[in-house]
Amino acid sequence: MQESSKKTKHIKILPPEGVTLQFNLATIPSRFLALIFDMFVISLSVFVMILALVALFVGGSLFGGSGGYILSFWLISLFLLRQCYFFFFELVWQGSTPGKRLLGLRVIAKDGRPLGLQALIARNLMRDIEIFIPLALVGQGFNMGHEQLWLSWIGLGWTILAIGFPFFHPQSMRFGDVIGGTFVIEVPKAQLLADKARSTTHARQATINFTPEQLSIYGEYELETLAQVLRKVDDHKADIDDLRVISRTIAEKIRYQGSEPFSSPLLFLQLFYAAQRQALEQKLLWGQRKVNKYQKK
Amino acid sequence: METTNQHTAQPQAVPRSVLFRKERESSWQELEDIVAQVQRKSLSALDDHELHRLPILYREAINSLSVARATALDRSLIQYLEALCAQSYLVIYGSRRPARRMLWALFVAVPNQIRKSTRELFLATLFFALGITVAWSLTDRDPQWFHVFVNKQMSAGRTPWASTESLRNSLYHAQEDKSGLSVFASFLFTNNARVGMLAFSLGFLLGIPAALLLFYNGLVLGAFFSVFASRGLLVPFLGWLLPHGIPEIFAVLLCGGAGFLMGRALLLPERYRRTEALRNAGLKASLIVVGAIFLFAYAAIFEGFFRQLIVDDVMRFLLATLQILLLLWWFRIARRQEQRDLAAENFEMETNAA
Repeated sequence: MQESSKKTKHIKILPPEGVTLQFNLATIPSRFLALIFDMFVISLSVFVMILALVALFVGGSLFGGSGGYILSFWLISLFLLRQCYFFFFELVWQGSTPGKRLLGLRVIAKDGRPLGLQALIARNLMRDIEIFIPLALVGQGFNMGHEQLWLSWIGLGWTILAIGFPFFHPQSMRFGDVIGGTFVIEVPKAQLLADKARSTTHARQATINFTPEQLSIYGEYELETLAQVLRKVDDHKADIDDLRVISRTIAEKIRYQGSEPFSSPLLFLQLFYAAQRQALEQKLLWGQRKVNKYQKK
Repeated sequence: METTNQHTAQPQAVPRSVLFRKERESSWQELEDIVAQVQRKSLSALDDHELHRLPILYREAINSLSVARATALDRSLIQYLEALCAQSYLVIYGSRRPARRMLWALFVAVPNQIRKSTRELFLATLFFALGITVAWSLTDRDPQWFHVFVNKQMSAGRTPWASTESLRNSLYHAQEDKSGLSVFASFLFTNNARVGMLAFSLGFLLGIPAALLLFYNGLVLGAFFSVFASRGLLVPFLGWLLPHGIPEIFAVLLCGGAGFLMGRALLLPERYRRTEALRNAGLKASLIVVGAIFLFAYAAIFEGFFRQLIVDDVMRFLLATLQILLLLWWFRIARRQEQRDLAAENFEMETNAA
């Protein structure tokens, strides 16, 4: 089925209400994409700053001012931009940066409580160490020539270690997440689909009464599959021939001998779905679960 | 089996979950709308009525989820409720205080955390002092050692072989024009801040990088001490150093202390698991590092813009005293705020108990 084929990891949080809630952890590629996007935004603003700076410098030298203040302003704002970008957005936007928001991600605290200031600081301080500083080290090593090449190797090794770490962590945390105690999750999206058992209830004029024996063959798995088929009809992804094949198969299996599977397969399937669900839910109330058709009793 | 079709007089049986959903659907929709509004804007965008309804609707949805999980055989319904509850949970339990109050909390939390980490700070001071003593005594014995501790760029002519006059000049006159110095100061700041952060984050290497950082900084300072002291310029040198050195050296010590905090968590996790201990220490240490970065920035501004303006020894020492007073004041406000918070917490607990 859909869920088992998609390998998303999730975490469980128990709110005070006592019903466990599930959150999907963000996948590593989507987190990486979000990082790339954020880096892009940072570089773009650096570029704009350079332009502004050049303009200022030209203007300043025209008026006889000195470039030194501008340069020092530049150095400090570059530092602030790189250090505070992630921190600022995660603080103000409830745990998401522009990149994360674009990909529908969000940082939450491990225990489900509000994301603390310390956690934010810790995870963003570590980001610098994980990626920026080792990469700077790599560059420095190459620039300084042969004797300093070992610096590059250390930097490269460190980066690989830091980037590889989430792949091995059971909850794909990076170093900063471990220290800050945070998870990055996918923001849950709630979409209520039409109830396939309800759409038949207004078509009351046509009903089929299935016998209890006919309704004791299939289980929850087959019921859910049928629901998916009926949703496909809504999306115009299943044609009448498919439905005919399915309804004929079902009729054969449950030994139903009316003409509906041939004359109006869609109606038959809808009625069968409603009846089957009613029967299974009725049994569920008595604590009897039938997972699939292979389960006996 | 034609007979089955004759019973059409009976109404078609409706699954219970259909009725269940029909009854509650409108309140889920209401919750969905409120949550969407919060996600688009913020909690403060809600009006009084919506704010009042939010927790009620959330509890209803949680309730529905738990019933649906047990009795409904409609996966799309359960998935919807799970997502809806998760969203609302984040809105209700995951929302933080406004950013402005958080910043004040940060301003206060930093000195309080430093006060609680005196042991690490003491250890950091020890390493720093060790560096100073080693470099001072070695350079005193043989000036050649100076080059081991201080590189050319940093010494800028202030070596054991410089004349006393030029050394004195370096304390009272700017080497370059002021604008050049401010560039140097901001460069110094970003550099210092990075090294400090490195000491923190490499703290999980058992605090060794932190110890090295402290020792190395001590060595540089000790070598300069030796040079100036040998010409009887120790007091003017201190006057030159202390006004910006007090915040800066304190920040270096803080970074080292933060590194030791992390190292200790890994070496001696006490009753915690190592990852837990590392996390606890990381949260504390990150506060200290933020304080250090702030102090580095402050020192750099001070160094870049004020140092060369004030050349009087007495004024310089007065400034140094002022720096100490400022630091003490910072700690004092933080302490007061903490006591106030504690008192409020106690009061709340007492009233709850009563």
